[in-house]
Amino acid sequence: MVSKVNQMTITKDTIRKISNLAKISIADQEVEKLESEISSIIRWVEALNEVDTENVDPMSNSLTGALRMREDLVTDGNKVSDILSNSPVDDENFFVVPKVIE
Amino acid sequence: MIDLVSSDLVSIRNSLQNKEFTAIELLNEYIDRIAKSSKLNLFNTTNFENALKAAQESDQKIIRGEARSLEGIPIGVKDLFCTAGIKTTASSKILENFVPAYESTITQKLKDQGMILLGKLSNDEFAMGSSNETSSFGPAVSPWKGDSSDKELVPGGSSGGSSGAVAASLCPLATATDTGGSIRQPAAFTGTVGLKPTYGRCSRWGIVAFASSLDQAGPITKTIADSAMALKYMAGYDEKDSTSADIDVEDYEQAVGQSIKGMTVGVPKEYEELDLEDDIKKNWQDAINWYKLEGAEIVSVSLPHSKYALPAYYIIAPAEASSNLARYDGVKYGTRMTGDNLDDLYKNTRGLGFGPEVKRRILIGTYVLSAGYYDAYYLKAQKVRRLIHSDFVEAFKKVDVIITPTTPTTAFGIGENLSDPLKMYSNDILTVPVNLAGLPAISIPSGLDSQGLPMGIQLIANHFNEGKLFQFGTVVEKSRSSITNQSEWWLE
Repeated sequence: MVSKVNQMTITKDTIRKISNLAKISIADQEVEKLESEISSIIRWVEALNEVDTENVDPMSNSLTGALRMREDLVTDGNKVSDILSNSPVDDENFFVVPKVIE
Repeated sequence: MIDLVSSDLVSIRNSLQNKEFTAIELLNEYIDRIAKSSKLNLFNTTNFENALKAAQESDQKIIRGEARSLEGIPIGVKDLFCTAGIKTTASSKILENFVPAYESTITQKLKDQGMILLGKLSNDEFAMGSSNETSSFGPAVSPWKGDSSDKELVPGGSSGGSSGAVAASLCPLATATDTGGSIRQPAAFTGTVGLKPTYGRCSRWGIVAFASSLDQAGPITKTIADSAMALKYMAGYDEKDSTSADIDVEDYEQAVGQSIKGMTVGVPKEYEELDLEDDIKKNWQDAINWYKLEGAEIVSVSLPHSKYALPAYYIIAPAEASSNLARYDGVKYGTRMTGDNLDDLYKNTRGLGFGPEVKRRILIGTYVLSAGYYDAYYLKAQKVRRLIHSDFVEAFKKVDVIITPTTPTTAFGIGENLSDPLKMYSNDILTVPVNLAGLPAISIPSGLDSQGLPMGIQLIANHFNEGKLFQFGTVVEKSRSSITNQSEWWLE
C-alpha cells in the first residue's frame, strides 16, 4: 500500500479525472496551478506514512457510543412550497433539469 | 449614549434588566456603529428592520416583567447558520441568494431567550480558510492595526466576521463554528474569547456542513464570563442532530472565577519544538507562571502524534467536505449555471459557483476517497486520528487542562499568505488536534506582542469539561496586561 502511494504522482490528467468525478469544470489555465498545489499538499500529507498504524482501528468521529437510532416514522412533511422556494427552475412541484434521456 | 466599547454581554444583560437603557436604545447604538464600520466588511447581510420590531417587543416584555434570559440583547451570527427568511450564503457565490425556510437549532435557542439578530457575519467560503480572505464577497478586515503600522490585517478565519465584529464592538456576542480552529484562531487574532465546545455539545442542525465529524458551533465574546453565559444557552441535546450528546448542560457561569489551587495544568513537551514567534513563546511561559502563582501544579505531558494532526486533518476534512458539498448542484437551490446537458449544468455551476480554496479542497477530498487511494490516505488518516485522540486520553489522566498558545503567530496582513496554501494551513497547527480528538478548548486574549497585536492562550479540557475552561480561563484574563488598543481607525 505504501509503495503504491509513493509511486503515485499527480499529473494534469489526474486533475482532469478528479474534477470530472467531482463534477467541477476547470479551465485549462487552472489545471497547471492545481496540479502543482495539490501535488505539494499530497506529498505533505504523506508524512503520515511514518506512523505505525498496525492494529489501530480507524476513528470516524470522537463519539464514544453508537449513533442514535429512531423509529422509521414520518415526522415532517407538506412543505412543497418551502422546498421549492429556492429552486432555480421548477414546474408544477418538480425541479427542472436539461433533458437526460435522448 | 451607551458606551458600546466598554460594554460586554453580562453588563448589557444587567443594564437591560435594570432598565438603565431600553432594547431599542441599545439596538440603535449598534445599528449606528455598524453603519460607520463598513470599511471592515464584516457583515454579509444586515437585519435591522426585523431587529427594530423585535426590540420593541423585548422592551414590552421587560416592562411587563416577562423578560427572558437574553431579552433584547443584539447578536451577530456567522453566515453559516441558517436563519429562516434571512439570506444564508456561507460567503459563497453558489449560495448568494439562498433564503432558508428553517432556522438552525442554535439560533432558534438564542431567539427563544430573547436575542435579536443584527445580521449575518462574513466567513471564509464554506468555512474553508484561516484568514477570512476566501469569502466570495471580499475579505473581512480586522479592527486591529499594529503600532505605527497602517497595514490592514486579517481578523483570522474562518469566523473572521464574528471575531472582527465582537472586537470592533459591533455586537456583544457572535456565533461561530470551528472545524480546525475557526473559532479560536480568529479570537486570538482579535483579542476576543473564542470557545470551541466538545463535539456533540452544541447542535449542528441547520449549520451549513463542512466536515461533519469535526464541525462544532460556539461563541465569540469579549470575556470569559460572557462565553460561559453564551454557552449555557447554546448547548444542549437536539434530536435533530444524530451526533448531539444527551448530557446535562452545566451552569457554566458558576465555574467562572473558581479557585484552581491544587489542580493541574499540562504542558505538552512536543509543542515546545514548534516554530512559534518569540513573543508567543514568551507569552506562553508567562501564562504557565500565572498558573503557578495561583497554586496550580504544572505537569509535562506528551502528545507524540500531534505533529501528524495537520496532515491527517487535510485528508479527513477535505474528504468530508467533498461529500457534504456534493449537494450544491444547481438543481434544488443555489446558483445555477446553464449547460447543454445535466452533466455540464453540474460542472458549470460548481466550477463557477465555488471559489479556488473550496474547489481545491473538494478535489483533494475526491482524490483521497477515489478508488485505489481510499485505504492509503483516508483510512490511514482515520487511524492516525485515533492515535492523536489516545494521546489526549492519556494526558487527561494526569491533568485538568492543557495549556498551549492558540496560534504560532499574531495576525498577518491581507494578501500575505493567500498564495501559499501550506503556509496558510500551518496557522492551525495548535488548534487542529483538538478537533480531531473532539475536545473542548478556549482561546483567551493573553497580551500584546511587540507590534501591539493580540496574542491568545489556548486551554484544552477533557470531553464535556467546558466548566474547567471557564474556571482556568479566569487566571489568564486577570493576570495579563491590558489588551485595549483600538484606535478605531475604521469608523466613518
